[in-house]
Amino acid sequence: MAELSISPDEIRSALKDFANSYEPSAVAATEVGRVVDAADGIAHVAGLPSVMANELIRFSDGTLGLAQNLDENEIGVVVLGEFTGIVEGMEVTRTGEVLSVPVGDGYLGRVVDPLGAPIDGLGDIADEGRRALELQAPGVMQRKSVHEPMQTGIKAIDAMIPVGRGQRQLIIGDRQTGKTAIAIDTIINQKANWESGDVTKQVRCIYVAVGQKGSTIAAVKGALEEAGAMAYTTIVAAPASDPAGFKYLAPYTGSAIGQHWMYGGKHVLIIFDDLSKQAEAYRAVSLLLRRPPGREAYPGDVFYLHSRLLERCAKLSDELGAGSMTGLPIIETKANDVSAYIPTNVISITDGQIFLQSDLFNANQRPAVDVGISVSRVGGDAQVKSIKKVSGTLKLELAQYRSLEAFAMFASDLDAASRRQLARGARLTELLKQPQYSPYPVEEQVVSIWAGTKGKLDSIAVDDVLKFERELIDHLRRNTSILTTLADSNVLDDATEAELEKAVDAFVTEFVGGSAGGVQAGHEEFDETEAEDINQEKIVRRKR
Amino acid sequence: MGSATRNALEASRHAVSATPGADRAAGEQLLAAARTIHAAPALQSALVAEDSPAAATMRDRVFGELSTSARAILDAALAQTWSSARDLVAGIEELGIRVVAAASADAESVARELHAVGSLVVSNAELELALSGTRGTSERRGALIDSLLAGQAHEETRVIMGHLVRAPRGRRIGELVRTATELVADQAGRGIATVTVAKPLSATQVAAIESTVCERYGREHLLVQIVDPAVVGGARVQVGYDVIDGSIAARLTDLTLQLAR
Repeated sequence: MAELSISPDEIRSALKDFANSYEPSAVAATEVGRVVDAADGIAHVAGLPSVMANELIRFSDGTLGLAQNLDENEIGVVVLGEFTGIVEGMEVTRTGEVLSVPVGDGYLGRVVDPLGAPIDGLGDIADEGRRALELQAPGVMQRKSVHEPMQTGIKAIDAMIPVGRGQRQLIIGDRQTGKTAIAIDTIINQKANWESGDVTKQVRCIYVAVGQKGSTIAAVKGALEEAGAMAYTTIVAAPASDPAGFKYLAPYTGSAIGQHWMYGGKHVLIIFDDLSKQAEAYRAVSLLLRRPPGREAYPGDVFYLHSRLLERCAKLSDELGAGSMTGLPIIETKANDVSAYIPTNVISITDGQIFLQSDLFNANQRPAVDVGISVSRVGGDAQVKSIKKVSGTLKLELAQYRSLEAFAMFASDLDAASRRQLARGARLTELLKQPQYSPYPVEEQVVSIWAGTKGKLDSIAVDDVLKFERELIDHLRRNTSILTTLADSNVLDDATEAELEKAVDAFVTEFVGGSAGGVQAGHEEFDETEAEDINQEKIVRRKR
Repeated sequence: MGSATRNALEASRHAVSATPGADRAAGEQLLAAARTIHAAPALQSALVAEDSPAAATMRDRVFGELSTSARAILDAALAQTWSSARDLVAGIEELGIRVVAAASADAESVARELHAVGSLVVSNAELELALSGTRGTSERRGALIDSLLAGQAHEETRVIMGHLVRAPRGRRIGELVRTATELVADQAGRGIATVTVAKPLSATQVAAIESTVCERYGREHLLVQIVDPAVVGGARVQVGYDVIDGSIAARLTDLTLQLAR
């Protein structure tokens, strides 16, 4: 076989031909502008005459920006990212795309930034397309009334302030009153639905952290992971260290990711934690863009900022796949003042609010839900029948208890009826206490509240109520089929109720209350030290 | 720039072409008038105020020494409604530059010279600083530009540059010269297309680019070449705010950004 040899000349001429045959690809014309000034995450750019509102633009160092104010001679740009590298005279090009984020099932279990880029170090996210951030909410004909329950797993809320799928329920309260805890409990409570594998039950959750401490976000992620809830949750994180532009966009990113699922006929729960920080970020951006300030220095469109965001939470009609997006916006108040600007705005947009009182929280009533002023305007239709039946009188009884309690502070002796009502109220309040990260399934809530409102707890000491409740549910689960019947049918019919009554009455007689078998806080369990046990050192003056 | 200013500018531009005998001297006088108005805020407010016999007398006293044609153009401008006094000054300046350009026999060369002077100034930090509004008096800056350009450039270039450095009105010299270059070219019925290349273009390449640009934008363009080795290869053509960037440097930047992501 002849040896294959190619002379250098041949190679050279072949390469020459190759180089000659190079056809430069067509280059499209782009528009450019120049940075006029840049400060505090805002740049003003001259040029770019046909830029669109909310269009992404690229600075020559690769940083992205968002075109906001389209003025006659220049545009105001919110820099998305590090803005220290942006200098006067820098070239800016249009990208031609309005701000959008990638969306899809790949986002489940991930932590992303407000541009949809992963920040959890788990690699790229496979997306199913992109979705614009500024999209109009579904119209009137595309909606349906809220009718399916969104169980939070918290007795006080599911019984008295029920949330339906597609509802916007505001969680409002001072700092450190357990607002985030309610949201996290709700996410954790969706675990059983997720594991059922039934798309009509499954709820995909999105937790949008705006302006939160990095440690708080990490703690939330840790809690969700520990509870096994991260599998169906996406966290959109814009921590306090992010520029204001990111913080103001994060809720829209979360809702774009959620809308994709909603229009795909799935159920979504989105938590905006919290919108007061988003409003503050938007105020910062607006003031830097020199938009005129209004009340509390917020810009004129701060109401629209929240209304257009929350309107995207909806229950879609059957023609559109009957998906839903439930919104749980969180607002932080200062000194329990719900009449400030942002709280009143968001209260008026949402379908109800869960008000958390710092006084209740400090009085160890946790979750610190003030059932008197918390309401749910649409959730009643979505409430599970069984719990609706048992909780009918609960709110009324608690209201009576509260008014009587105030009255009883001044009265020395009361009639038997009032005393009975006070005792019942104290037990019901105690019954609504619930530790964090321990959501109750509906059937357990039904049994628990049924026992409270039917007076089955009246013979139990107030301190023993929660112990009784725990043991009662345990007893019912082991010895009867009431809980499974309730879980399957979701209806408390007469037969089940009679069976429940029999079982509870039997249990009440055998229940042993008190501190037996446990150490109670505030009780000494050792004897006082005897005088002879104390060997005191004495200083003795020695005589010389 | 408000719509009133836009209308006023449009109307005043017609006055430039409609006024016979507007020569370079008339243009110089208009530019000097713009500087005078700029320097006296009281005069600005009086000029944009309503017409009255007292205003007419004042105009006669201030602008009495202007030639007939310069006075006619100035009066045409003052008869218009301007959005602000600043716009009026900028408008008169534009008219002055247009008159100088129109009076020139070779406006294209003037535009090229202006562009060359502009890039020269911007590339030399010392010179840019000396010519910026923060150092020295306006007369010293004018004298500096005059000494630099004497005998080297067209008289029109010297007049326009002299005016720009004397009254920068808070703008940077690069920006000023760019605007003036566009005005001069526009008066000659041309736009400006800036081509940045690594090696000087051949005559056929220039012609090819000129015809492409003309076809695309429906107007003749004056091709200004910038030779910058950093482009590496290919060319970058900028017309107004539109950029057609086929340079190797742009491709490399894109690649860097993609890799960094």
